[in-house]
Amino acid sequence: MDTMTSGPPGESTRESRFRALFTDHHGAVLRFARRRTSPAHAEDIAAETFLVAWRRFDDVPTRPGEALPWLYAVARHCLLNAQRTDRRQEAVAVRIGDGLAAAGGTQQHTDLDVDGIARRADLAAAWQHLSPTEQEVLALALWEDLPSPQAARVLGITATAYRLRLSRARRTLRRLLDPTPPSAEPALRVAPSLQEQNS
Amino acid sequence: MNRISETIFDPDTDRELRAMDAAAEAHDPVVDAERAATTLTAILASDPAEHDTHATPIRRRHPGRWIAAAAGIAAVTTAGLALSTAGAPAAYATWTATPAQVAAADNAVFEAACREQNGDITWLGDATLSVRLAERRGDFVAMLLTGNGTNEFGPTNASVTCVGRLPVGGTTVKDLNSGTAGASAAEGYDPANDFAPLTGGQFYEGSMSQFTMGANWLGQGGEPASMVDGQVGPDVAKMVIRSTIDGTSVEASIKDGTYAAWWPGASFDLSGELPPSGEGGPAPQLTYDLTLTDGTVLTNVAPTIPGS
Repeated sequence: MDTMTSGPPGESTRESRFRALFTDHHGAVLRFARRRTSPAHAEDIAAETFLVAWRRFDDVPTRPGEALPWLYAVARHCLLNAQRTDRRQEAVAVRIGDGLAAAGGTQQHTDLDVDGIARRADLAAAWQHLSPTEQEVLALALWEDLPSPQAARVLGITATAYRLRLSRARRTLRRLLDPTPPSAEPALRVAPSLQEQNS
Repeated sequence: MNRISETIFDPDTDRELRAMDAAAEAHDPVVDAERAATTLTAILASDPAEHDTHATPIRRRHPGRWIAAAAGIAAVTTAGLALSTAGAPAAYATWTATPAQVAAADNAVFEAACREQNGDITWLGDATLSVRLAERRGDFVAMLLTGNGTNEFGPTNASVTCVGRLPVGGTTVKDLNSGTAGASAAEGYDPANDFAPLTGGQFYEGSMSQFTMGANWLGQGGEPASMVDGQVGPDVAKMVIRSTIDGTSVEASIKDGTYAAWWPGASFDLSGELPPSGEGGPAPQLTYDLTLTDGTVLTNVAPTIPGS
């Protein structure tokens, strides 16, 4: 339930509402930035994002579920500005991890079987061949876990356009993972070369 | 919010990809919480009404339109041109009012850093940027890259200016600040119609920028600095630019008809209310003195207005 109030708030109310916004979403915005830039720079991007939110607090959406996409969009602009390129034609590349942290850290990575390691190596290699635009749409769905309307808002495009991009990105990644015609094989499989290396 | 995630590929692949989250690798809950608390405190201590103009470079292009009102008649004198560093703050202690050459190795290091920070300038179209001029002032190097090309709108030109700290023989550029300026014209536009060849101590102003070096992410701290570039006629041997805001004087570098200079201090008067975006911006507070190849010194020379 969103507890934000309407009407002209006093400074203390504004501060308490901002504190709530920060508490609820700083971690998510920091992770958003870490996926897209170096860890050190990500701290600055997250801070810059909330500084913008503090200065433009009246513009932050108050409807449930809308503040975070708004913050993501601001963070993305910060990242694009840092790149100092034409944002009309630019997207922010998204990094992919090796999955070891989620598996419990390097000490437990042996829990992954050989096929699992090879599969992640394939996924990581394929990810690097995606364009930044393709990485962005997939990351918003996979890691930011946003439904299409909210993900579209982050990118400043329509939900239809987002779904179209997502469909293309999905198709590209599948093709990278499996170069055979899509009708002949299942969607994903480990590349033969890596199967041989790890067998 | 509990929401069932949408299946993107298939459950197994989605699970694998979600596990490969780069954000998880840098996650340390204790450190993150401490830094978040520091960030929140800093933000709440800042003025919410403050706009971060200090952190935003102010850049201008083709300033001839607005400089026309200030155009005056150049006075011819034979006096020498004095240089002053009155406005230079301590942060730029090594800065010099006269430029020096950049060693080839330093030039390569700096160019790489400058290009990396600016990435691909997509609106430049089919042209590539090349180094037009580089100069050293103490520990600082400044560089101007320019290029002409054609994009989907027609002829276009662009310039990239970079200023950063790179001591002689250094391998890393610090405090690097850069910006781009450019213009596109309609198909068929010929710049020669507006930019007649310069003679007799004439010059065209190019891009101008004022920025802050050394500021933190809140835009606090740091010192203002300025950089300008443009074109000079072949008979101009020396140009001294003076900021009337703080009295700083700087001798520009001149190479192949291009001049450029940067200095610690302001070039725009930002004390009043700024005009809306697209309506001219703040006026530069600069004067120009030129020394011609025959030794003649011209003071308070007004820039030539393109198309005039």
